[in-house]
Amino acid sequence: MMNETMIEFKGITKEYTMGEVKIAALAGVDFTVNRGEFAIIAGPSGAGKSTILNILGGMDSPTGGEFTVNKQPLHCYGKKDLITYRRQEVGFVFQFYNLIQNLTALENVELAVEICKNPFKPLEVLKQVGLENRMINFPSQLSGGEQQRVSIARALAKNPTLLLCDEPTGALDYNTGRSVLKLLQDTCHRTGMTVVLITHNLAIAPMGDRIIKIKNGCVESMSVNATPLPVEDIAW
Amino acid sequence: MGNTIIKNAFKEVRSSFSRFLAILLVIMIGSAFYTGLKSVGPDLEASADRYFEATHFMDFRLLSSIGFNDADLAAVRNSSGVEDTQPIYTIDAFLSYGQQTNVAHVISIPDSTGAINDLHLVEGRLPQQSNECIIDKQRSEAGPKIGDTITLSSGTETPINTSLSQTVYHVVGLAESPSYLTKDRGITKLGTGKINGLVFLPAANFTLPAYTEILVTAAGTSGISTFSEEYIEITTPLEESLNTVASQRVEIRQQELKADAEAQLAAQKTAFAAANGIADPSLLDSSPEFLEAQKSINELAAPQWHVLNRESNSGYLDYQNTIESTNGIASILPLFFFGIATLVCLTTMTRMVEEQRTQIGTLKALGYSNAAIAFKYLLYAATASVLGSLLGWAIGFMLIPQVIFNAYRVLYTLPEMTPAFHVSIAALSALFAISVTTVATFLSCLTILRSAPAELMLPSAPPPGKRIFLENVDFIWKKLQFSQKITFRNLFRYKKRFWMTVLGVACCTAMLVAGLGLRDSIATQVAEKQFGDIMRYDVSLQLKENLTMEQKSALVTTLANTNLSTYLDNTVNNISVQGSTDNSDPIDSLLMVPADPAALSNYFMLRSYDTGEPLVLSDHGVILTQKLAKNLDVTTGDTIVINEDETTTQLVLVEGIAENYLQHYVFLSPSYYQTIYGELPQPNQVLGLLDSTLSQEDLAATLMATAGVSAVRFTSDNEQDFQNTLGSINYLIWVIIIAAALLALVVQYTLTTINISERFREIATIKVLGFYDREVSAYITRESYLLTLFGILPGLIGGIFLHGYILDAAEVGNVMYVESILAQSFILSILLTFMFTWLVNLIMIGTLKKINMVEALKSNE
Repeated sequence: MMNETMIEFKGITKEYTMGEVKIAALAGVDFTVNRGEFAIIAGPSGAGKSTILNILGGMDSPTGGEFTVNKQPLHCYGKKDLITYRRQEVGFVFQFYNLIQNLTALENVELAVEICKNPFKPLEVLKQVGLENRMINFPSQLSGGEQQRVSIARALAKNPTLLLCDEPTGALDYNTGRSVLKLLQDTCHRTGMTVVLITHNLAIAPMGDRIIKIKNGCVESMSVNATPLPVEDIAW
Repeated sequence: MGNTIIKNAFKEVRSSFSRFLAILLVIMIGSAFYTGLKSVGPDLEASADRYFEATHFMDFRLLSSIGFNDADLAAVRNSSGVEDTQPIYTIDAFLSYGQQTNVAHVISIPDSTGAINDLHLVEGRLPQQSNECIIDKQRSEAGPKIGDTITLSSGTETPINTSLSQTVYHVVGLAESPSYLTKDRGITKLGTGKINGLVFLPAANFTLPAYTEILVTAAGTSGISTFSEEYIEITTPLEESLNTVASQRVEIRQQELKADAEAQLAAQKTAFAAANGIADPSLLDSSPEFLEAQKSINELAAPQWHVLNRESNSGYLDYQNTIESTNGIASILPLFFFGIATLVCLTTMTRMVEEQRTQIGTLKALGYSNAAIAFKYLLYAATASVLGSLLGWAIGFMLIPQVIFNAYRVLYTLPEMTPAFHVSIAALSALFAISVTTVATFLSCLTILRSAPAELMLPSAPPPGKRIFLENVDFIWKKLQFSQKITFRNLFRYKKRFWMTVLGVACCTAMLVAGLGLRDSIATQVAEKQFGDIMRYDVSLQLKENLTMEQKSALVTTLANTNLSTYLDNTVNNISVQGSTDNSDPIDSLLMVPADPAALSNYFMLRSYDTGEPLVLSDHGVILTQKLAKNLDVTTGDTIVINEDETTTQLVLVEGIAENYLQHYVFLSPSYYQTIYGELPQPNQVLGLLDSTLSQEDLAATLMATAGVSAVRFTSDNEQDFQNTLGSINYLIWVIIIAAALLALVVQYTLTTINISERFREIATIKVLGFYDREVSAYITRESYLLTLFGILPGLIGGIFLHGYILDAAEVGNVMYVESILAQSFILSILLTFMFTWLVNLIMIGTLKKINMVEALKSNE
């Protein structure tokens, strides 16, 4: 199962037009990620990581190239199909959590679950992320780490085929960041869910099953890591 | 102030144009409405003033029961404060033209132009020969044109040549007179009691022994508005001195009359003595017939003079009432608009300042003073409000008064109105507009300017989530769907937006209710009740004076053969009515004496204005209609004075007050009429009910061909006339409704835009979660529909109060408005309000679709 291709990017380009100047954010990106892998896309800021994630998550469309997720040719998808894809198959975790302030932790998860086909029970997912005692709290009453856990719970509860994480530890302190990463890695290995994590921090790369390095809108290197390290063994 | 700040402010205009436009528009609507409604009154006044000035409209009109001689005229002319006097002759006469015969008021025109009450010649020329005349334009519409010939006759036993040298005249001109602003030509003792037209003849044509009227203008009124306090201040002393002259002259004239009569009697006695050989005529003093003559000389009543000011002129009064009524409508509504403008401005500017907190922080860190930073926003808001005011003035001063004036011109004979710019109104509106925006801006800036720059560099914490009260009400909360719970939570989370929207929606609904309600009260319901419930007769026939027995029986035969199912003889006379206790102004009314009071309710429903109980005419009192009772301030059991003409007055008891909306009526039973006037009334009108089998035209033709019938009038035509008259008020109401609608749109648009921009991240988040466009818009629009719903209820209640207030200010003259608002107006107001919400939501769906998730989620909150 580990050898089944989950994500395949072939010559993906993305250009933005700024007035009369065309800026190439991605200049032909090729990579694959297999099902159940914990893939880490790393690179300096401005290299195009986020653009890859946005395309991968169906929030943005490439200018050229082809890519498939779970055998679906997403480059051919229209706007509505992309929404359906996001709705059914993708879970997002953001740097700044993006929780809805007016909903409690539980309600934030419920909001996401309401529109899915085979979701997990929000209560149980929150228990899994260790928040059973904070369910009735509003985001403003939670710490950063707790908010990011709610955000992960929200993504997981959807039972997605793909979990996308954009700098999930960027706004967290060192220890909290580590515990969040551990949660993601454990979830991946326990459930077999494919996880793609974006970071500028190369130090955490050894924890991934697959490491893709991005530079100047291109894949600099892609390597499969047969022995990923547990988070506990990583320091930065 | 630095150039950069100013440049920055104007750049802001370009970058946030829709926001700038919202403030500009709301100020434009507010000031257009304010200046427009406020200037209608002054514009109406100014055009009347110009007309009166050009035609030298009299300030006072003097009437005497015995006419005026040259000594009277000299005395009047010499009273202090008199600028000019003009003696005129007038008579009422029958005007015959072809088959038409009806009553005209014949008035002398002075030999020179520029005299008091100068005619406004519309067509043709002034008379040059003694057999030429001018008639009023309105009369000409129904018959004689320039070049036609008319014949005047007295209609009484006294032939017309005792007052006029000629009886046949060529019409050489058509004119309007400032004394007759409305279509109403006044009342007369002749014919139906109603004057149909005016005839103007050279004074030389009159052979009357005395002047009928003296017209007076007051010195020092030139350039002063007749509707101003100043005018009253100038003319009141003159009125007093004219009254003094009147009382002096009345005494002198009485002495003269007595002396004349004494001389005549003495002459008779001398003649009698000479004829009967009596040496001393004084011996006859004790003879019965001379004793009687002497007694009547001693008892000779003093003649009566009446000093009438402009307000006694019914056209003038009517016009003045219309102005008051318009001012009444204009009094409170425009303030509403400025209230809403404040609201829009406050929300918009608060949002703008909030969005730019980082920029403000930077400026502060760079060392810009609070004043300089605030100046940018003040400049932005002030620019929007100044531009909005200018546009508003253009619409307000040019368009609105013109639309309303054109509507009023159906009712009044007035020359063209030229739109005027009223400095004080414009200044006040600009002051309102600018202070509203700057105060709102200042308030919006206040908290941010007080914060330290470092604080401002950090993004403001989003308002924390909160549980709402409803969550404690288990049986409701548990039944709600998840999405409904979110909607409720969101509604109460943004308290400011909640109240702003509810208030904005409430104001708009209130204005719609008031506007549509005014239409109901003034037009729809009045017509329905007056012509449906109260005036039940379908047709009225005016009968000629003094019908012969043959004519009467011919009429009875004709009526029996037409499709009139039943009919009622009635006597109708034009009278004026006064309260008995105070010296109130007389109010023109119609005296109605149905030949068979028991049958009256089939033709004219008399029912109590408050209980709705039917009222019955008795033998010792009258029934008044409700507006007349209100104007006279009398209730059942009071007494009133009715004047059949200026010299015959009667004191009568008010026995009931009847529901009625148009025209004042005083109802009397024939036996009570006989008690007070000493004779039975002569029916001069027939009220009939129709079978609907024959067309009205055929019936009218048949009836008009019958001897003795002078006019046929269908109630449906009356209703049509009334509807036409109300066309004018309808314009005003449409202005209100359109303005309210525009404002509602702007308010809802602004609040929704701000709502979306404040919740950009939240919306982006749910988009990322995979909500379809439809679901995203439902997430937002559910809230606006709910807020609209919350706003509508107080809006409806507010509308009822606003409507009542305006109605009270607008109701003048002899019209009574119906207070209630029709259910359909409430429904329409609700639907319109929802429609505006829907429309705004429709626009918003586009904005929501365009929200870029990636951009929105990139940065920190």
